[in-house]
Amino acid sequence: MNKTHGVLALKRLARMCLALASLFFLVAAWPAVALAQSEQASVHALWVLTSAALVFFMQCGFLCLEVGSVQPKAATITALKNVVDWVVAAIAFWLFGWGLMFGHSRAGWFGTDFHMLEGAADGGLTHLGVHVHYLFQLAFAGTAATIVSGALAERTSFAAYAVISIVVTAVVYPLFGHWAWGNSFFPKNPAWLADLGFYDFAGSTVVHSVGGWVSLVGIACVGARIGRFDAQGTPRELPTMGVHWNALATLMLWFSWWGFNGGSTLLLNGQVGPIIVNTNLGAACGGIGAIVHCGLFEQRRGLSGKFLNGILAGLVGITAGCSVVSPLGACLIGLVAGVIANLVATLLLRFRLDDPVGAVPVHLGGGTWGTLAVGLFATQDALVNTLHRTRWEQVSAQLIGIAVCCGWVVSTAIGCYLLIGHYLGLRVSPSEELEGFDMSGVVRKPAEAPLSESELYELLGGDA
Amino acid sequence: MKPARYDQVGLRKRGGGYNLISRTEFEAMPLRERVRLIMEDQVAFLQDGRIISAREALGKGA
Repeated sequence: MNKTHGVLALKRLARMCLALASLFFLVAAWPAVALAQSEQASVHALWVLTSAALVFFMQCGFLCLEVGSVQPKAATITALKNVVDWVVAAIAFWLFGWGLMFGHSRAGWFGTDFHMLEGAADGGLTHLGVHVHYLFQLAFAGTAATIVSGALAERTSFAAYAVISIVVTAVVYPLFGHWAWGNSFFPKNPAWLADLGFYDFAGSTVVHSVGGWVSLVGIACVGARIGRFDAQGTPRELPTMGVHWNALATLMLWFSWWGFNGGSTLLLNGQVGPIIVNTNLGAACGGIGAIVHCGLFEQRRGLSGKFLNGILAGLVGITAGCSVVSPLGACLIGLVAGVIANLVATLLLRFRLDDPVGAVPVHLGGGTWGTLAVGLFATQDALVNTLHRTRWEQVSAQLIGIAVCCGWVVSTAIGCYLLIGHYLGLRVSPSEELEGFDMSGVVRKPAEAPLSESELYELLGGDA
Repeated sequence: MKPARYDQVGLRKRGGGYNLISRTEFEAMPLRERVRLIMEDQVAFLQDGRIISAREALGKGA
């Protein structure tokens, strides 16, 4: 009996020692655990901040791309418009954009709070914090806006362009973004398109097609540059600053895209490497697809430009699915994106639509294809574990997302362009377009004095 | 005075864009209307698809 009591007492003592030891280790180890978690969070934040910087650098790429695609007289104003884009985006996305896109949702339609980032430090993605998340997403908003400037280059008035840029970054992009990515900062937020299964990892549709649709409506409303088409509708090549600018721009954008797609994990984890590999393959194959198609079916017309735009279309195309496709899938997506960019460029010319930089073929063509390709090329493993849908369910969800983007962006863009056209005027005057103009709309350098009224009567009276 | 040298005229549309018309069509417009359009910078003269100034187009330039 005594022996039994002794054993029980020993067992109690052992349990107490174990509990005390556990407590001791917990207390002693807690700072180390907390420190490890904090360090891990810092690493994630560092990666996302670095990616934000890379995406910010895309503005330089877009600037070079657009400067290379316009006539020399319009180079300065085109470059300045890109800077204005970023200024507008930085303010508009801080004032309304981030809150509309990532604030607490009203039924999945729009964010209702945290405008100017007020109070958003509470909750959400704690490992990033609101400021890093804002900076990363701001870079995306700036990208969506700057896509439009290239399409409208050389003939759109500066005031009209500034208003379009504000509307895109403050309303059009954040609202569609909320529907697709509204659960990115607050994971419990409803986001109705995402809840339907629409998957756009880094923004083939959310960023690029939004910019592409606004560009398409814009070039239809503003009209072609004077002299781009003759009376029969045959396109004429206008002089540009040179394709070397476009080549530099392509490499700058390609480099930045590592952050665009790689940072969209919002973590530095094992996904990042494969995502960047897929991004790279998509770009390379986009260039190959475009150059082969141009060589075989377009008599090598504009081969250099199409090669470079094919690379960009490949990058746009792989953006939606870079996290769920295999490297081989990425190659196929890129190849097709390059061909689609060529086909869309040809289609635009057939309808006398003038897109100096190729924004519509690259961003709308590549973006729409890439979004659809998520359903077509996602690996079986990704369909089961990430997307939780069958292949055809996923294709349907992607088609819904594409259609919703088209409906929302086209309708708001048409309204916006009509209002601007009515109240401000969309287009510069012929003399501004002839000589080039500055930010104030002042003609850059008049080649000669304008004709007086009496001179005109004299000159025109002779041939009347 | 040099002869006029343009083959097309772009008439600026309200809002944006241009209506391209031939030189013959432009010259068929009333004189006062043509002068007004040029004075208000609503007209672009083109020769072989290249935009040129009104002075150059009407044969008053260099």
